[in-house]
Amino acid sequence: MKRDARSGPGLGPGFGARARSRAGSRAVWLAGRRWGRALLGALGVCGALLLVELVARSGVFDDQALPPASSVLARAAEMAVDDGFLGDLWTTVSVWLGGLGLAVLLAVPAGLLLGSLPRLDTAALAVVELARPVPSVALIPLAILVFVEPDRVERSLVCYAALWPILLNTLYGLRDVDPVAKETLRSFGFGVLGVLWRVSLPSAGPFVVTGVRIAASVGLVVVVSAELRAGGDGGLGVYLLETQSGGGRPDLMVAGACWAGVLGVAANAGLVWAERRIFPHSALSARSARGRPFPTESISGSAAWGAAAPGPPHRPERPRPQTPDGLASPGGLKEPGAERS
Amino acid sequence: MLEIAGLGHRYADGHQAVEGVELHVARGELVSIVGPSGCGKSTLLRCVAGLQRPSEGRIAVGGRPVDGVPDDLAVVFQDYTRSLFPWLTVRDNVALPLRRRGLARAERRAQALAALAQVGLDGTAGKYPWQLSGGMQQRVALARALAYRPALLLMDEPFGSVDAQTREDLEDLLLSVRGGTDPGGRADDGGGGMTILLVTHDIDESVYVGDRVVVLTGAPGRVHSELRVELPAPRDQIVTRGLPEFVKLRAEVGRAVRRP
Repeated sequence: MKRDARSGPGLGPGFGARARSRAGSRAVWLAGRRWGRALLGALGVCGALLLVELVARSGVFDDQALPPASSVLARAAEMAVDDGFLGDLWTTVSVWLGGLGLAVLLAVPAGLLLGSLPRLDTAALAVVELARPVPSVALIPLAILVFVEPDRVERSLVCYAALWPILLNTLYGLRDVDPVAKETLRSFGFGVLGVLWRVSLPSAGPFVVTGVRIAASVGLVVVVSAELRAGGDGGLGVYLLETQSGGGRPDLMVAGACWAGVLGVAANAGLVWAERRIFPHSALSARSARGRPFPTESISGSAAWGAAAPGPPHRPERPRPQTPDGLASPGGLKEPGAERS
Repeated sequence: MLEIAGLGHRYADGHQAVEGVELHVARGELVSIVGPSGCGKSTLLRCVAGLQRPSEGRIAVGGRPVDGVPDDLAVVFQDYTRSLFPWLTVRDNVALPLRRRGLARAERRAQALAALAQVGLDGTAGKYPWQLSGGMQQRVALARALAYRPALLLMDEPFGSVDAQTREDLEDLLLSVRGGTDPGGRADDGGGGMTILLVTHDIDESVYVGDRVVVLTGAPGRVHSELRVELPAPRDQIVTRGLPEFVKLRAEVGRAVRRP
C-alpha cells in the first residue's frame, strides 16, 4: 500500500495496483471471515469442554454425576472401535433408517394423492390433525402389545413419528407449486399425471427433503426412547440401559449419548447434501440450513412439525395460494389478477 | 387455422372478462392482440389454449373444436421465471415437451440444441435457467416453444418483463424464426406456416411484429377493430418504425385502444 501511495496522484498503474490489492484484500478478508468463524466455533467448543472438565475436576459435583469431558471423549473414542458398541449402533441405525424409509414410501405418495384431490385433502386433514399431536412415545406400550418384537416395535414407531412431518411438508410443497409452471406443461399437452410427475413432484422436492430432515431428528428421539423401553437384543438405548444397570457408568452413558448426537448431525448433513445435489435450485436454502448449527427443527422437533421449507430462491415473492389449487378443478387453474390483464 | 365465434367468458365471481369475440386467423398469420389492461386479452388466450373453458361461444383450432388443450399448441408466458423449470437445465427445459412427440432421448436433445442455436443460445444448454439473464430466459422459453414445432403458437405478453433493448431483440428474433426464414435450416418442416397469436399491451410492438392487429376494448373485452399491417418484409427496428405507414398505423391503433 505504501508503494501505491507513492506512485503519484494520477490514475496510472498505481490505481490498478490499488484496485487489485483491494480486491485481493477483500478475498483475504472473506476467507479470513470464514476461517475466523470456524476458529471461533472451535474455540467455543473447546471452551465448553474445558469448562465441563474444570467443573467436574473441581469436586463441586459428585464424580458419578458429572464425568469429566476428557474421560467422556476418551470413552467415545474407545467405543468407535468397540465391536459390541458398533453392533448396538448399527442396530439403532438400521431400525431408524428402516422406519424413516417406510415413512417416505407411505407419506410422499399419500401427500401427492391428497395434494391433487382438494376434497380428499380437506377430509383427510382432520384425521391428520387428530393423529399428529399424539406423541409417538405415548404409543410405545401399544406398539409393544401389537408388534411384540422389539425391532418391529421400534421401526413402526419411527415410521409413525416420521410420517407426519413428511406428509405435511409434501402437502405444503404441492401447494407452493407455481400454477404457471403447471399450466406451461399442460399447454404442451401433458395430462394430470404428467404434470404431477414432472412439475409438482420436483417442485415440491425441496420441501419433501426438509420434511425428511425433520422426520429424521424426530425418528432418532423415538428409536432411542423405544429401545430404552422395549429393550431387545441390541441398540443404543439397550446399551445405555446396560451402562445404567452395571452400577452406573456416567462416562459411558454420556459417550453413548454423544454418539446418538453424531447420528443426528450426520443424517442432517447427508440430507442437506442430497438436497443440494438433487435440487440445485434450492441450494441457497440448503446452504443457509447448513450454516445453522442448530436447525430450527430442534431435536424434539415438535415445535417445527409441519414447518415449511424456505422457498426456493429462484422465485420472487408472490402471493401464496390460500387453498390448494387442485389439478382437477373444472375451471382450470386460476391465478388471481393474471386472468384480467 | 383458428376460428373464434361469439366467445364470452364470465368468471365465477361474476366478472365478465370477454364478450362476443369473433376472430379468424389464417394459417401462417401473426396476429397481435392489443388492448388496455383488463380487457380480457389473457382470458381470450387461455380459452384458445384450452386452459380455461369459456362460458359461451365456440373456438376451433385447425377445424377441431377446442375441448381441453389442443394438439400442436405451445404457449409462451410472460413470466419466464415461473414458466421455466428451475430444477432442469436449459437443454432439458427445451427437450421436456418433446416427450409428447414420442421422440427418443437423443433426438429430443438434438432438437433442443438446434432450437437453442436458433435463438442464439449456443453454449447455455448445461446451465440452469436461473443462471441466465431475463432476456436469455425468455429466449429459452421461446426455444422451447419452437423446438416443439407447434402449428399454433400463443404468446401472452412474451416480452413484457424484459428491458427495452432486449425486447426489440426478441421481437426481431420472433420475426426471424417465423415463416421459415431462420438460418437454422429447419425451414422445410419446422417454423414454416406457424400461426402466431401474440397478446401485448404495447401498441408499437403490436404493429411492428403483426400481420394484423386486433384491438380489444375493455371490460368486458370486445373486438373493437382490426387493422391489416402492410409493412415491407424484412422489418427493421429503426427503418420500419420510421416509415410513415408505421406511424399512421400506430396512431390508428392508439386511438382505437383509447376510445371507450
